[in-house]
Amino acid sequence: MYMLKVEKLSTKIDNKVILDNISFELEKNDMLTIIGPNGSGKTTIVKSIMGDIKYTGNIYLNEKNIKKIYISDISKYVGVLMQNHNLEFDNTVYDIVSLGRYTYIKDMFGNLNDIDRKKIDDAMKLADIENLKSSSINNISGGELQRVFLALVLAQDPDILILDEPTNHLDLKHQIDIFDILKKWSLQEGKSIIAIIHDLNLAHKYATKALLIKEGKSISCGDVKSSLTRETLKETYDIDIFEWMQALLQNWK
Amino acid sequence: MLKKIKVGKYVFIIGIIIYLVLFILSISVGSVKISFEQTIRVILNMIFNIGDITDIPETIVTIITSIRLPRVIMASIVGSSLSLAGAVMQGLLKNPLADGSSLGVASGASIGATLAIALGITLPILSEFSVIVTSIIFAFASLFLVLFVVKKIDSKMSTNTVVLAGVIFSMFASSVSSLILAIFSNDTKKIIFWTLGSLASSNLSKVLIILPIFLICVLYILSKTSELNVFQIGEDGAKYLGVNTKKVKVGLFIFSSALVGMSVAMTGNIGFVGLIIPAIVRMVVKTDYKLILPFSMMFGASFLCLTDLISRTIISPSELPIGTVTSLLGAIIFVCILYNFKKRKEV
Repeated sequence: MYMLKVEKLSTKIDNKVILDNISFELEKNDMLTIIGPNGSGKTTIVKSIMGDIKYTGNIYLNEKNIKKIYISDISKYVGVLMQNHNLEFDNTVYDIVSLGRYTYIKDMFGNLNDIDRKKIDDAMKLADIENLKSSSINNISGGELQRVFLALVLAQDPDILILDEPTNHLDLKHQIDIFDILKKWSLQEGKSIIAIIHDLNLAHKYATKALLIKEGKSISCGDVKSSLTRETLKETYDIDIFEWMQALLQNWK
Repeated sequence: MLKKIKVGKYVFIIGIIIYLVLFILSISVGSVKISFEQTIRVILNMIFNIGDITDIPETIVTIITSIRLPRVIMASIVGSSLSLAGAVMQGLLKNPLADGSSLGVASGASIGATLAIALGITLPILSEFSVIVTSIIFAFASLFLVLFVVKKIDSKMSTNTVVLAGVIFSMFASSVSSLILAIFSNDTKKIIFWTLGSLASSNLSKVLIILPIFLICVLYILSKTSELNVFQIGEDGAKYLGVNTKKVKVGLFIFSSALVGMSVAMTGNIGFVGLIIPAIVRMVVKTDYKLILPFSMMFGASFLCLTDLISRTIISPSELPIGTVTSLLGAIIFVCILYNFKKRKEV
């Protein structure tokens, strides 16, 4: 059974084709990475799934057409970790993480119940930010802030987590940290992940499936071993990335 | 979060006590001095029908029930409306400099009032409330005009477009008001005095008009505290967490603008309250709207009762326009609090 199925997804903006016949499927424990140059339509795929833009084709969430599901219900199944976080006021880390429970709160005054509190604690533990609980958002580092927002989407307890360049601006150590957290979460809880990743080594190490796109068209899609190869990368980026990376590594000798 | 709520409770109780003291003080202080005891007894008798007030002179009872009590209630309603609307707008527009009139309703209401005074419009049936009704109509007309234009320009109604449209409309509306002022120079003094705001004309029937609108708006806004909390991480973030962002946003715009439009119509343009009270409240209770909104209402009510008391007693028997007192006093209080707050943080 598929958790998410995208079928012949196409979009146009001002008569320009942004996505052309993209299809893929996502099963339990999968981590699908979407790879492609800037402007190839990666973020547009995410926006289509979340119903932010018009598209043709079909997207099924748990075998139900996503267009027929209310946005407040979609948020129970799909969580999105965004690229940029802009906060104006002096929130604490706990405040921000607890916002992830919004969609479950039935209490008129928006109070959290015991389940909510447990999910928040678990998410903070997994993201390793328990010690920051009452820190102000303005006094923590960029890497910590990213983990706070990761904890927020984990507290949301979705079946599918969508990450748009989750490790942007982070150093290598923090990138590895975040992917380790995600991998652990997906295997432990039986969840699946869609991640737009620019770092090809990270993508290759952590993803189970890959979708390579160029100018809105799918170059290859499927198991990471067979679809993320030297040849497909060459076709996607128009340069021999493998050769380039080998040359880079030579510099270390 | 638990600790925060406890501290909040403590401050809230002190706030309520301060408000009650100001409430009683505002009723007893004035050209005719009334003792606290008499004030409390008359109010209790009036509201709960307890106690015997036959020994209190009838003139005093009349002063309390038909002049001072309506005025204090009006001050409380307007003060809490302006602060509540300010807190909501600052949250929605993610801008600490926003206030309830950011969408241009206050300026719209001003056109209405200026026109009504200058042209001497008297409505049939509602002749006593001609200025009020005209400015309420103009406030709502301008709100819907702004929202309509925003919708046409940007179907997503992003906050930047809303702020821009609001600012442009406010400027336009102010020039229209000035134009009317320039043409009908006979009524200049009356119009300017209205613009600066005054609670002097408050009476029981005005309170009864404003009260139901006030309660409806407040109930709606207080039911949206979770959504306002989620809005803090941005509109897209809020949407992905399951908030129907457009509906909530438009609803909050309409209800908080209604509060402001109605307040301006009743008492003229009382500036600064909607900006400064939420800013002070944020320093005390930080970022949880479950606390920010009720605190803003409470402090706003107290603040306007206090400034009204000052404006009508300081140069008694004449009155200062309350708008000037709120701005003067508000700026001083705000700077003091900001100074102490920053200093304490540095230590």
